[in-house]
Amino acid sequence: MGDFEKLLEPGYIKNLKIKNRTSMGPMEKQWGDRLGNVTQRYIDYMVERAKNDVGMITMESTFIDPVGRGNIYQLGLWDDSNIASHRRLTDALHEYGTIAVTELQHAGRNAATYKTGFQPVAPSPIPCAVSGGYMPREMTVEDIKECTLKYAAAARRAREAGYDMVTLHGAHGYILNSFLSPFTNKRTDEYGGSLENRYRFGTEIYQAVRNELGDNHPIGYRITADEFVEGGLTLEDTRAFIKHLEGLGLDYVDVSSGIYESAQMIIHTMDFAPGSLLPYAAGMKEVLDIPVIATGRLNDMRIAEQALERNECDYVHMLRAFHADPEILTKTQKGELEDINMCMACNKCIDLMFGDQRVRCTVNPCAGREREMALKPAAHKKSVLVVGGGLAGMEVARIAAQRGHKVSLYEKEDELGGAVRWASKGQYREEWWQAARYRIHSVNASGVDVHLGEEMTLADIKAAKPDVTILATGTKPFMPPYVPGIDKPLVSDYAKVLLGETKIGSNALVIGGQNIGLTTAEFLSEHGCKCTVIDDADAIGADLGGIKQMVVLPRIEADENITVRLNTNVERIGDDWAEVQCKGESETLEGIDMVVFAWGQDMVQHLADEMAADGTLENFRLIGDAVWPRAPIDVIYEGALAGRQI
Amino acid sequence: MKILICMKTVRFLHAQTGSDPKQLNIAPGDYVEMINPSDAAAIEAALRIKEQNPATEISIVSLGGASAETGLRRALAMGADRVNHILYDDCAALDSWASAAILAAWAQHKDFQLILCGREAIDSNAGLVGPYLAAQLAIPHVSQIINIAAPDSAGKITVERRLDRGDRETVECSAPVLLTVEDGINLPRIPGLAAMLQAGKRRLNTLGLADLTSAGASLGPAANRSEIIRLSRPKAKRRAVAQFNPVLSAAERAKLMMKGGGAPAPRPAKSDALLEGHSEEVLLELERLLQASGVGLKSRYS
Amino acid sequence: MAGANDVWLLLAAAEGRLGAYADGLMREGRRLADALEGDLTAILLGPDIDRLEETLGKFGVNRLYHQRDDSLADYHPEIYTALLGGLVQRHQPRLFLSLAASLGSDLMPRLAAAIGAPLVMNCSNIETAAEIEFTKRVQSGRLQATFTASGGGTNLATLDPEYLPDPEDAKRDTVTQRHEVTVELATIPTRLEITSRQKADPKTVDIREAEIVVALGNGVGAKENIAAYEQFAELIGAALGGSRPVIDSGVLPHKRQIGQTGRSISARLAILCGISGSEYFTKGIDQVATKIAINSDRDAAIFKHADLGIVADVNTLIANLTAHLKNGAKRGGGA
Repeated sequence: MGDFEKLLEPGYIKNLKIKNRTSMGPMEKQWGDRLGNVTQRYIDYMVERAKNDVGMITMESTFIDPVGRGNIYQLGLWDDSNIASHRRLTDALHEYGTIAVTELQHAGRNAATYKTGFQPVAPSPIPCAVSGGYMPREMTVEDIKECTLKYAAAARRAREAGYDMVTLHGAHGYILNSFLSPFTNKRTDEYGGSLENRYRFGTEIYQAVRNELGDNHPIGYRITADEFVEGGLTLEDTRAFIKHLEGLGLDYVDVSSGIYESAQMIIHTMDFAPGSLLPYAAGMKEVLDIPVIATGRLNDMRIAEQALERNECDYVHMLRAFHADPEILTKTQKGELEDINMCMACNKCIDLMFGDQRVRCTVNPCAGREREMALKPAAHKKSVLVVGGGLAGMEVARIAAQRGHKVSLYEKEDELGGAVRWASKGQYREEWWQAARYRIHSVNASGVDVHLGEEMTLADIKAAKPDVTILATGTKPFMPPYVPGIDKPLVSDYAKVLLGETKIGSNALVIGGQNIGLTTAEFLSEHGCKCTVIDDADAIGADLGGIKQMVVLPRIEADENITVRLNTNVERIGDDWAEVQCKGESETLEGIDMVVFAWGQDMVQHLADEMAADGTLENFRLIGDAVWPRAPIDVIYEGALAGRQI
Repeated sequence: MKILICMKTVRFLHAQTGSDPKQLNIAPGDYVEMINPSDAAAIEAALRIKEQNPATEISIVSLGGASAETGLRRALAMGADRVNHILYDDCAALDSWASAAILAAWAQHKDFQLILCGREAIDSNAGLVGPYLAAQLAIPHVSQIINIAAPDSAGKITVERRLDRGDRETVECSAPVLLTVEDGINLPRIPGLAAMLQAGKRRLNTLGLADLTSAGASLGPAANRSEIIRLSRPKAKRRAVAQFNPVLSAAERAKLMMKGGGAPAPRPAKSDALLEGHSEEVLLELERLLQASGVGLKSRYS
Repeated sequence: MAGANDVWLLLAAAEGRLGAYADGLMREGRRLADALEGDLTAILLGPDIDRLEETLGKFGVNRLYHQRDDSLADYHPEIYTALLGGLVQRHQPRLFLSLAASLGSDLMPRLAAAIGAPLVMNCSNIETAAEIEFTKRVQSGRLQATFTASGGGTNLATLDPEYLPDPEDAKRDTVTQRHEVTVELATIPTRLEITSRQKADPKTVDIREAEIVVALGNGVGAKENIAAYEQFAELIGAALGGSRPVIDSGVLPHKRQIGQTGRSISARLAILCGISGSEYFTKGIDQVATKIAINSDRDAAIFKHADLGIVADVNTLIANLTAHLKNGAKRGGGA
């Protein structure tokens, strides 16, 4: 397709032909085993992507030394026993003509003792609070020489395991990065201080790996273009360093940003514009001759094509984009853009990874479960009635229909989307709509009979007599009946506010400071309304996830319209006032023209209860938030499973 | 009528498969030699004029090294009547002005009524030989041609040219005239095998610069007005990159990036006040602004 | 006074405004004039523009040459060449620049030939080192070549708009001196006669090039509503475009997408219907001269970008406006 000319053009790194400019970038999955071996789950997942034409796949950061292991189930090439399982993976990728790349990493000061069992090592004894605050041991010169040998040995294993290229992970505060940066390197010997001295460690590692692999094996470097910490590296510093390595024969550079102290700049959330890091890739490319791989919120082939067309980079790392939809490239080629299950950068995958859990995906329940979740046609075609067109309802409907069932979907509102309808309101949350948008398209494309604006009753369902009934009735805002004044006209709820069904005032009290409350408060602020957010917990945004907190909480703090009060409850509500209570102290807030409950969600279960009591239709099931309100990842998964069980 | 087409065999870089970034990743096999696509479109346009007016004689001239011969034979096979090869090995050393000077020295006094050139060569992307040739021959020139009507009996030629924004313009001129033709306006014919074999046997009219010296003109690189001092990798198109500003703190740089790569800040509302509703007043105001922006109503003309 | 280090620009105007990318061209001209330590001169041919000196002053233009003649509103190659050739030869600036649009691409080679000056087309960058270095893309974009020109006189170049700096507010306070030029046009011999101009069909024109654009956003609602916009667009001769959500939902093809992930438009007028105004979208409308935004949300960010903002239900308003304009047309041009 002419629209994606640049993206589909083959490229060359050294003598290696890469069939197109897309690359699935390195993304830790926690799918290895305890020894760092590649598992079948990992191979299945990667094959699914390779099958769909991705040009190269860079495996996740792979530790070269147990002392520098970053995660419990991370891949490793620290021992010769790792080679066999990595070889199975590269063989599988090569079968589809995909270039296999490994990224060698030593986490340095970012390693956590509880994962490694060792004290971390680093250029200087400065702990990293984000990964647990373990005090690192300052490396001796002997340690450094040993580390060099370990890098070379891991590179040899990478070659023996069949990897076509080797990237040295010199970003994100890991050991190479920390030696380069004056922020983390305070040494006074030949490895610290002057520019030349700070270059020394990285240069020695590069040369050791080059000597091991020879001149014909492509070696790249992943760099943090800007550390985004005061006193840290900036683009000027990092591109000078890469220029220096280029002079020594480096073959490509992979441009990322941030270190653990600025983790929100490593893996960008939906608060960032798509292609957020491209100006940095372009800045790097300005001074270099070697190919530049760009990364950072490249969730859309259109942005990728544009970046290539503008010469901002030579290859595009699309990590989460391929995670969310393995077929993104093939669908783009066919022009089926609306059929792409797009990554919306909710960062659930990363939160799981940082929480030492196996990585999954909100919008793609099959990620990492390719074998288990493969769609099989239904043995017996049944009529399926789904009540509720939210994420769970749409997921079950489309999956059941794709398996051959006859599915009707009833939604009481005039549009599909459920909770996403309100959750995607506000300028930093629009991307949430992608989760609904794809499912709406898929539901229609799968031949589901969709009824909008029809609220089902028990009698309706009994009249329809479906073989299977799925109730995905979702939630409604929780309005505590015991708060005096809850029926006053100034009282509203998050859904009404976000959907524009309530006139926005000038001074609001928002009850609830977790995700929903903050979404509501920011929306009100955007519309020029001052608001006081209260929450009975002692922290706001606890359910946001680590990286999201690093983005959202400072923004709330900086927002002049928003005041936050913790450990505070609402006691009673008047016509233009509300009484709140904090640790036993009451206070009346005057001059309020809106009270918005964003306290939590109430499950809508009455239809399920009635069906159970009635007993005529036995084959029914309640799924999604209506069972218990959870994160979208769980709700979509539940829908995906239910669709496969019918 | 005598038509001349100036044809270039381009040396086009169709891939970059070399392993050395310092050599711009160019391997020797990355160049292909081919007839420049918009020149081929010009030949096709001329052949179509000849189809309507069989008395037309189509000549081709090509300035280039030995490799230009392949293209010239192909042009013969397509249906050109005469082909002329100005043999010059170091065309890379000539700029557009010097190249046009050589072609002008050859073409003058040959009485071509119509000279066609391609829009631009896809290797040098200059688009200057055509207009310079017209200037040196002191004949009118029309650019961006997408359609040529066969000349009428009075020698008047009507052409259509492409403007910006998809608009078109019709221009009338009289012979002699030079037209630069866009590519993609026609599908150049593919000669059959028999025609190719026959063209292979024809003798080409090959001449050197020495055969052209006229009125003391110094042909060759001496006529250059510009020179290439280096080749490099293309740079990124510009975007505001405020976050590189080292004066900014890390937090400020991070904030800029979050907002989308240093995009310009939204300008303050230009309108004094927002209008509301859909009253007659609002409609009139809209109509006024539409009119001020030069909107013409289609129904008025149809 | 005019000097040998001056930079000259050819500006273009349309419908009483400076054409698209004029700001980028002036910014680039000013940068080069500063580097050469010369003045910046702009030339405009055709009808005058309101408060032109004020605008030019903000971009640091020192001098304006203007010939006020309605017949110059439409470009004629031979008349422009004769007129500008005379001016340039008289004042001998160091650089003479224009945009690499249709006009510049046709005119500049003629001018270069007429005054015997070197020219580099479609430049992505011009730098002033020991000599002036012109960089442009060659091999259809695979490489770039850097040129120098021989001789020390005027150098000509056209600039690729895609490499011009992004728009930002101009802050200079140069006083622009106006010089009216009065060349007797009737005496210029012409051999070409332009007999007609045809407007592009908005339905098929590339959205980037469309003169009038009706852009649809989420606020337009269901697919069934699109027909009304198609009708409206046809009435005013506009091309239809959309924001990413509208394209993603498959209502319009990807080629019609406006914004960061789509195309940047440079229309004279854009009517933004039900668009919220996220930055992804507004990046694509930087170059639009006049923007009308219609949205039911009074606080929609799009109003910050609009020349006229209307708070109304967009479907109703467009329906009413279509009827109103049609009636006006029937009334015989009340509009």
